[in-house]
Amino acid sequence: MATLQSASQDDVRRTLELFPVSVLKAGWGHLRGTKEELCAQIAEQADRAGVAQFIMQNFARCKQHTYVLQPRHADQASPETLLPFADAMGQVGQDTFFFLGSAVYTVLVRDPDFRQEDVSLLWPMRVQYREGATIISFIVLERDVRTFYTGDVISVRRHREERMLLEDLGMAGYQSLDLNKGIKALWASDYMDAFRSKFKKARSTTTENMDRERGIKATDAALYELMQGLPLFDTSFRIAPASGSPVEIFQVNPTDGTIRMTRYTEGGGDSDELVDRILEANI
Amino acid sequence: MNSLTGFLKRISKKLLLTPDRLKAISQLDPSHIYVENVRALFGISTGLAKRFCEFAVRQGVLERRVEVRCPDQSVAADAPDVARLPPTVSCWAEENGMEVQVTYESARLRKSEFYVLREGRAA
Repeated sequence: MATLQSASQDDVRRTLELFPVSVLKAGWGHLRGTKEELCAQIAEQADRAGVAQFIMQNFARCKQHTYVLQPRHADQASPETLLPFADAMGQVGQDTFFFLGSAVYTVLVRDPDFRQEDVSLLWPMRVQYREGATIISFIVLERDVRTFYTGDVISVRRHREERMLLEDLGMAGYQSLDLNKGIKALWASDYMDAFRSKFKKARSTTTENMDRERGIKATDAALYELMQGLPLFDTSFRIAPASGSPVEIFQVNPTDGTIRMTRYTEGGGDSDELVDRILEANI
Repeated sequence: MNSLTGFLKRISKKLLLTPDRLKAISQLDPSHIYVENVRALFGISTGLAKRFCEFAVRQGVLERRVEVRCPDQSVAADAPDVARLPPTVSCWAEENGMEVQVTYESARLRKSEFYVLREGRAA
């Protein structure tokens, strides 16, 4: 937990701002103010072990990108060894591990002279080992580093993006887990409906964006039936409100095993419920 | 009956080859059969569908190939295996409101396997 222990209050504040305000208030109910004010107070007052615990307990309430991989073989390097820049933050049980890395940006600013500097944001991540999958999740860093500067920001270049980490995992032999079966099973049960999708026909890749975000299954039965036999790529689903899911909308690439939660979860639940449901239906 | 249908009939009595499924098999494009096509057709797991396809390769019914996909998922090239893919491929991307061609290293792009029905294979 060295990264968190040595982080500045500003770094901790920015990390806390990744979480929904309802969760922050539940964690520190005695504090008052706007989200920014709450995060500043927590960063100032709370001990770092408490912040770490908060991050681990509420990880799945955040906007995140999740990569579902084939189960790890005994002779494969653990994903943690492929995250040398990330510091272990803690674990839950025997199969869930949390890390705190740094996303580094090189910024070129004119203020009024040109200068180049590096700025970093703390980056929470999680590795889960399941019987049928290895799951790696990254909380989405929304903060625009341009807001850190008063001068003209000419360019921002981010080092160490998710794409690079996934390439390293691929070279270490980790392959994505195909989620087409699980996604289509949930779709068939009317748990959710797609309103945007890319899918692979024999000789072309087709994109369908439904007008007014109508559901494909509800609106175009023939298209829905066609898609059931084809590999799906980037697809946006809306979960039926009657299901009570804390996730309203998510994006998934079933063929490449990627799931994107681009909104905070609602109510008391988190996005792990959706990932569990997909994996159970994928068996 | 095409050779793929005949092969599937031979190898597994557990595959319930209903008239609808037989029709669906015959409608698969023989130049591009994906594991997901087979999985969905028979309602089996991805792993089992993959094993069927690989068994068909060993039996000489199917030939495995790999394709490399652009960031927008369109296929840029394909080859018998990853080693024989071109080192770079050209993909379309939008820059400043215009469609431009961008060169990518194949090694950094996503790949997918697919299968081709071998010509003249008897059922």
